[in-house]
Amino acid sequence: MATVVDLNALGFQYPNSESWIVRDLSFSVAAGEFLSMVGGSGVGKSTILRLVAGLLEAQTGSLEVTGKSAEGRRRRGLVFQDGRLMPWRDVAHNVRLGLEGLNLSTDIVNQRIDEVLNLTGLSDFKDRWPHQLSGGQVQRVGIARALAVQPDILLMDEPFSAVDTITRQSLQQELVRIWQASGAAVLFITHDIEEAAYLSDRVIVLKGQPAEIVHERPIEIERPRQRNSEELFRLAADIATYL
Amino acid sequence: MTRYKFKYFTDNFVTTRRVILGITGIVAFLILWKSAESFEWFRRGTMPDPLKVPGALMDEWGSGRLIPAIESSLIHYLWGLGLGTILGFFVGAFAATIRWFDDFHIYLARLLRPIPPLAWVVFAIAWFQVSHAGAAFVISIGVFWVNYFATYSAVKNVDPRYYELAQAFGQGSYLIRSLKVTLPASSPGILAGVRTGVGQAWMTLIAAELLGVPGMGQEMNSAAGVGAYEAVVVYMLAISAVYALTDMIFSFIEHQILQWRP
Ligand SMILES: Nc1ncnc2c1ncn2[C@@H]1O[C@H](COP(=O)(O)OP(=O)(O)O)[C@@H](O)[C@H]1O
Ligand SMILES: [Mg+2]
Repeated sequence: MATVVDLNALGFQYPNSESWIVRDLSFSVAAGEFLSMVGGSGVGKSTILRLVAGLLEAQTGSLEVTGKSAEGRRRRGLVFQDGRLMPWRDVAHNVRLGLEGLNLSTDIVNQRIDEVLNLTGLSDFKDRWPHQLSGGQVQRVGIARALAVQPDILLMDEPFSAVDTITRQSLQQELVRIWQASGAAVLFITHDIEEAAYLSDRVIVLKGQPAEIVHERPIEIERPRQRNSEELFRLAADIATYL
Repeated sequence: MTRYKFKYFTDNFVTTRRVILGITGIVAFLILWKSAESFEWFRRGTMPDPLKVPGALMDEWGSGRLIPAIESSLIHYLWGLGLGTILGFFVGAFAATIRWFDDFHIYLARLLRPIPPLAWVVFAIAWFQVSHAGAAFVISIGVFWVNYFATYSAVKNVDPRYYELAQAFGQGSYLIRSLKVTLPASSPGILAGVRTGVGQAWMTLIAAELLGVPGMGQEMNSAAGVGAYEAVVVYMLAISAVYALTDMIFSFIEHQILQWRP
């Protein structure tokens, strides 16, 4: 099966730090797959995501981002926990960020922006400043911005942990819809196991220092999924025992 | 609804009170001033008569001194302000973003910065004689430091998370990052510096002109020399008016640029 990201025996430590965050980490993400990574706070989830995003460089091992040729696209689209919109850009221009420098015509750029704003239900908010948005809308702009570059994989670092429960549930539902519509793979970080079980095709559990994959669990529940199903609860409870 | 009406009422009251008390303040000041003049609190002939100021204004205007003096001052002002702002901005921005340049300039900046702009008047006269260039030079020094420091600290304080964002979306090169993150993120601080410079330039302007470069400062000096203190007041009020105007223009521009702020 085609993969979009391959980590092989990856080792990383922060400069001027003795300890390894990961020492011998290997996993891959299949094309179109929704993979969640769970683990306690400080185990190294964000670091791994930054490695995959290319924001940090591993000292040992290899990390390959494969996938289709990237003309007019970027292979990875990153979504931040804090939303991280540029307050000096309106919604449309925030979404535009990753498209700048890709040599796309203005028409194509605008078309892409409209497309992703439509997909994330933000068409009416195009001209808003970030400070005029709710927390949930900010996260949706963050997702739209990542999707605009038509990535092979969306990298999401606890994107819903800062919003209220009701908003979180509707964002989760929307994410599944967006993921299915876009065809991109997702590498999703969360400390919420139920969230991981509800969303994912596969969940990996990280633990220890350096962090290791202590458990890997395919979630074969059919979609659309029932949020409060017995099966999901049991699964989540079982995964929790590995934490 | 009632609440709204009440708020409307109080807002109105607050504005009315401000206007009434504000005017009263000015009138009280004029009375105090007039008494000081009538009862000769200071040496006879050194206290201008407020009632003669409008007449003096007509004189200065009619004699063709006022407008050329304002024009000349504005030339010094705009050159000094422009040069000082641009240089202060670039030196501050480079120092805050380029490590070696930061190290290279830091002792020099600490050495030169405490020197008051007017201390440079000696060299302004030596190098430029009594000229427009000399006045602009002195003004630009004060403005330079204000903008240098505002830009330096605004740029240093840009949230590094925005740089990470730019890098994640392929906007990581120095130039691109500077234009897309550094500049907009630090613009509120930079503009606050520019605005301080707009005021600071006026302060040094008059002092620099007191040395004899044509302009409002010089006119004040020569009016005082012949005991025409009402004319001095006219120039003081002209300074106040032109400053209020430039500050208004600047605050309009600032508002346009910083629309995105809550
Ligand atoms: N920039 C950094 N420099 C040094 N250590 C860091 C840095 N960022 C994170 N760490 C450390 O790396 C470990 C993993 O952090 P992180 O990846 O953020 O964990 P998680 O996202 O799982 O909570 C933590 O012990 C944290 O203190
Ligand atoms: Mg984290």
